[in-house]
Amino acid sequence: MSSSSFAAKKGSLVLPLFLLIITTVYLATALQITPQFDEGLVGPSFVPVLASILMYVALGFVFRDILRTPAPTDDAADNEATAEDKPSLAAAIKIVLATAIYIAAFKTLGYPLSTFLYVYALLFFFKLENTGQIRRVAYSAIITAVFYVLFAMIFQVRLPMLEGLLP
Amino acid sequence: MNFILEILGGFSALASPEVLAYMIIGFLIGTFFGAVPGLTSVLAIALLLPITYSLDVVPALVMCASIFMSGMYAGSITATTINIPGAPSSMMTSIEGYALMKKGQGANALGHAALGSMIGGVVGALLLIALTPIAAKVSLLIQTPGKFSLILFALVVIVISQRDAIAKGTIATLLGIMIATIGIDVMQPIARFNFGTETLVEGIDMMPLIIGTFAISEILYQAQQSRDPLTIDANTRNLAPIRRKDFLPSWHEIREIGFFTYLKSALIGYFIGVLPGAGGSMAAFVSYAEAMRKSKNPGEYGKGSREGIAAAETANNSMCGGAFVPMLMFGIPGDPTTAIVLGVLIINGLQPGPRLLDTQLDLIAPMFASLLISALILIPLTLYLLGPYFVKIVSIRKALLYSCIAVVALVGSYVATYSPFQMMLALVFGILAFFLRKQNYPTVTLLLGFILGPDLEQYLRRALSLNDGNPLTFLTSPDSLFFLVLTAIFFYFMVIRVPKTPKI
Repeated sequence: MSSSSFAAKKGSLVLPLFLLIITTVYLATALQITPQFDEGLVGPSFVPVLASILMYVALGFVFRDILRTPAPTDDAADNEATAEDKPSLAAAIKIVLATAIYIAAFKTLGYPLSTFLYVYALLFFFKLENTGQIRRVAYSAIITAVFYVLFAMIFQVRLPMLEGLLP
Repeated sequence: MNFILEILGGFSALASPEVLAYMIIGFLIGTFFGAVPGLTSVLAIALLLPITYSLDVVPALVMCASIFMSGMYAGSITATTINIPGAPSSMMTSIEGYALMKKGQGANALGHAALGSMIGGVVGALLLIALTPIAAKVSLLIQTPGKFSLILFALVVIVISQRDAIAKGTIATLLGIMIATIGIDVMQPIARFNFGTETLVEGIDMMPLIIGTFAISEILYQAQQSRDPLTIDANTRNLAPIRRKDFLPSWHEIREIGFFTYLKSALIGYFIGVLPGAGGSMAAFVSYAEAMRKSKNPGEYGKGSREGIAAAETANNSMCGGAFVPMLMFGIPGDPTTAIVLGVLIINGLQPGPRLLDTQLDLIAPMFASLLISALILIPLTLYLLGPYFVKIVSIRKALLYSCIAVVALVGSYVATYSPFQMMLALVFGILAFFLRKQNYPTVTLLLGFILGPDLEQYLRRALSLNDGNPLTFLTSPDSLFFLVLTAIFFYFMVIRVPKTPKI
């Protein structure tokens, strides 16, 4: 097994491992639930415990499938997708970070400023090619304004308006 | 008699300019989302969900119904014109439609797709109207153990519908059930899985889960794809343009397809719609395979069969009517779109069940009417008016499209409680769904597990507490036994004796 095919297999193990940890934490918490009155076997912790056990079984099948399936060879992987077409996790991570910052700043900066900056960042991450700075700024302003009209004016939603920065 | 009058009242509700405007706007939104590869009617309704807080229930439901119908039909547009199905349910249409497009008969293929969708949509809506009162009477017969077994049946069918990913489907469903257990217990006044925080005591709201699973994860998924999903290759660009006068299918072609094919496909679609979790893709696939099996010209399949287009499109639109039956009568969504419509009902204080027809039919009837009118009038009208411009309409740049979706999704999450916490939850669920999707876990089952989990637990515990903890009640109660046997039958035919895939 080449190093890259081993890495591919390792990559597909990360999510089931994460789910395994989550399930274990969930099960441990389920076992600590104290019912307010006795319902017999099927109390507040019954379904969570059952769900955890079924989850372990299903994860077992997934682990078995991953370990049994041969990882794609380097050549096969290359044939399937050109370098240009290969998905890049970096763009998704950048969007997650931008979104987290947007949410954190939403009330403080207010809808107009935070949304404008967020949209500008998204246009950048989505590679809006062949477009100058002025156009990107214009697109960001238009999108911000359109959804302000939709939410605040048509659907009467109270959106934060820079009050977080005012004394 | 009262039922018929209420249904007619539903049609008259559509005459109100406001409701009519929402139906048309919904139809256009659904057409756009259904046609653009990567966007679906599920996403359209998910984005609409927060807005329903500010809408009356009738326009909200009317809009959902027209989005559902148009989204199902619109998948055939890009499937035919650029060989990329706008929705998974149009996979079969892309095989036949694009083959006709290459022969210079793209407009004719779009016409057949629209005609099939129209017939299927109308038959599905009529069957929904006709059979809902019967389903309501049947649902009254189901006791608590039966309700548990029915939900168990629904969950098992949802999981085994995933064919090659049953273990992954099980995991996603269980994850949904586990998320649903966060908050106050279904039977006792105690908080579970709140991990010492007050914010989790109230539980997880359906909206951030829907927005995260369908909108945020889609944005992340598209961000990592360097290629624009609407990249049209040079060969396709050089094909003959779509002309309005070619849309109308000839009488000879319709007769060749046969009235029986339309009817059979509509019935297949409707009854597959009734099954939980099956959805439009399965309806189109089964109907297409059946039409090919019985066809006088099976050799045409794969080379531009109008019969294949008609079968697939009739079935997937007829499915829309069927999917509403279990959702309205049992609270069991037939597919992801109706799962979100269920959210709209709950947000507006409507509880699914037979009582819905007795007490709130005036709110539901306009939705039935919207399904019928969308299929009968709006599908052919949209094709005629917008048909020649379909490719241009869906060729919006990815960066602009997904930036707009991101803003609607996040601000929409904020709308429900005016709290950035909901936005953050939507992001967390979006990240989770993104990684699940990357490794081919069906995220739809996560949502269905989340919706059905609390009822499953509640009916299980109630049934046992009413019968001194005796689990045999599930076998001695006839309705429960019926659903358990049905579960076993479905498991046998869908997992043990797997149906063959048709070869094209």
